[in-house]
Amino acid sequence: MITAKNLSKNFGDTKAVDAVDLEIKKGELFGLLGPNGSGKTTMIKMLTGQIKPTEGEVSVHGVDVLADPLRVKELTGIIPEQETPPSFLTAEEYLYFVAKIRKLEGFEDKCEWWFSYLDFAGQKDVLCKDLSRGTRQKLMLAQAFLHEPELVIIDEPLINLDPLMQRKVKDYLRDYVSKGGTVFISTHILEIAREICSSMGIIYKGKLVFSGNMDDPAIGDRPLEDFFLELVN
Amino acid sequence: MFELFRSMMKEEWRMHSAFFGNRGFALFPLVIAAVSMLLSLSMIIFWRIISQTDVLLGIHYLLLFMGSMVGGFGLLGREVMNRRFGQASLLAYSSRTLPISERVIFANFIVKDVIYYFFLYVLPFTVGFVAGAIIIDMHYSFFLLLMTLFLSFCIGLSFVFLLSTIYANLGKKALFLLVFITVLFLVFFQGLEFEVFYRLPSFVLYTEPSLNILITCITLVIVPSIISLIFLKVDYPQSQKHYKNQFRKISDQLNFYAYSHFMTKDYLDFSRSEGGAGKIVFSFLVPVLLVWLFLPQLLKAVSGLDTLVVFTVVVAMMASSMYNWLVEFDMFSSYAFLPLNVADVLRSKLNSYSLLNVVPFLVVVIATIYAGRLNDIVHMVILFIAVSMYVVSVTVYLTGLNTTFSLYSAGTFASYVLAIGPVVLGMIFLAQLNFYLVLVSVLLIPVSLFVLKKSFVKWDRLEA
Repeated sequence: MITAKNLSKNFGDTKAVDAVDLEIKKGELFGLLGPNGSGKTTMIKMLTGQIKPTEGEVSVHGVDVLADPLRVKELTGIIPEQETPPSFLTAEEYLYFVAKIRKLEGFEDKCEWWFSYLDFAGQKDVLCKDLSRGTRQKLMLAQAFLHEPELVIIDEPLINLDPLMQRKVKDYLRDYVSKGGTVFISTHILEIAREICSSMGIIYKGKLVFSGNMDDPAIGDRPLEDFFLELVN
Repeated sequence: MFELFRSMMKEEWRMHSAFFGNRGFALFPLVIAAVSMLLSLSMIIFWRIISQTDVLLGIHYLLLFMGSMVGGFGLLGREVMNRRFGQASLLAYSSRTLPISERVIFANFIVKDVIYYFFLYVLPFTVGFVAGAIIIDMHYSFFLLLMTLFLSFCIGLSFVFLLSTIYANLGKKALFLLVFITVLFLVFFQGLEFEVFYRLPSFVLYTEPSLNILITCITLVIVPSIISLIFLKVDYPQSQKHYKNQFRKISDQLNFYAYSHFMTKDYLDFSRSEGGAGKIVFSFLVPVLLVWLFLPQLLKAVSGLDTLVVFTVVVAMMASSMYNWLVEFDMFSSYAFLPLNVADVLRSKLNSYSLLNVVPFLVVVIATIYAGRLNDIVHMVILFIAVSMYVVSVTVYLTGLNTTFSLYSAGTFASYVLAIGPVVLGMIFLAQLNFYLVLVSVLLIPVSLFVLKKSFVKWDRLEA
């Protein structure tokens, strides 16, 4: 589903991502872990064609991201790091707007389902600029799944959500993967990865220092935190 | 205390230079000086219809307006900043997270604005204006003018702070009521005679300097600022409004446009943001009306110019400012994760622009009919469409989706003036030679389309 070879990104003299090789298969729930500033968001931006890599190749759904980023964005649901829905549309109007961009038909029921599932139907007629950060995150989750993509890439999926909503989102992601979907998430919260991911990568100072399944022998019986600290120290 | 002031100065500089580049922004005072010099030099043409006193009055009000704009953006521009930077975290908004009182922050903010913009606007403006005047053998007292223009700027700044404090404490209705009562007071006691505008204390200080007037000016700067500090309230009244879903209905009505969904968003942005439809009235129709009223007088100084041609060109140029309204709240990162190119967003803005241009288009048609020149209507319409298209295509090429901020860059602004000025003046000149030559303007349409095509490629490359 996702293949990256020797993927690198430099910002001036800073190597944000350094020669990363990565392969994620269909049906995986992959977690990219790393401390703040380790290169997770840059990695996601390259995988989704939002920025061009300095070096390397990347394909998503078998599509060369560099050659056809729009096709990748058509096929993928993406939630960026900062939730920035347009200020003066209501939450419901924003979903209609995204549906129009994605040329969807009969999406109204899906919108209603998301409002109900994430418990923000009472906020659907409020302007996006007046929504709380948590509600904006719910809205961004809804827009990413609206076209029922096979792959969803999420930068920090549970950010700003309360524990109840975190549970609902985790349940949804598990269910989505069990039905054949693929999810790529980035997070610095190790418990999330331990709880829901089937595989993970650890990125540190731009380098992918580990990639494997959650039951990889290298991790063993140790707490994930110990394994993580061992790698990044 | 001084550390906060220093940090605010650094923040202001870095914020501007982040947009325009250090060099581009550092040259901005030179652009201001050049523009004010041109303004001063232009008096050699207009002195027969505008007195030197009126020019002085005009520049004092200009600085008053600049001061109020600076104050207004600093205090109320958070919405724009949030769209540009994510959640804005300027030092001015940091009293919740730092152990510094709001009053200390605000006092520093005022002093920072006064000093920063003195060097950015007031000083270069005065230098340029006085230098231009010397060339055409008019003489002004530089230091007195610098002081009175600076006081104008500060009066504008401190009154906007006062208005924002009233707004923060009493709400929008009280603010409107206060403005309304002030206007009524002026009408009742002054009869709204134009003479009232000559009583701006900073202007009076230049024409009739006296200690009393100087004290009045300083009082007008200090008292509103102190009242603002005493009644300071950082949280502006915000109500969570609920809106009926209008997206589908409007989008269906605009369905014949390729980007009807974006146009719907633009319409909703436009109608729901501060000012709403009033923006068209105050930012476009009122200035157009003023141009219509004053243009014939101005053109008396330059014989042979066709007033209607000049009016149409000016309206077309003013119409291009509508593009700025459309991109004010948008940045590409809001769409970067959706299947869209920058070119798609730019095209959608041009769709909206073409729709908004119906207003200036009608203004030109009505003006042509009113001038009793129905026979020339086709020429005027072609001239309007061509110039409007050309100006907006240059704007798109130079500024993309960052028009508001990019034009502060000296290089971009100079390119803008050089690309548009000769073409527009050329059109007016051709019309003077032979009225039917305005039809040459039709050539601007393919040029504009070419510039737009280049713009799409340029911005797709730069934003990716």
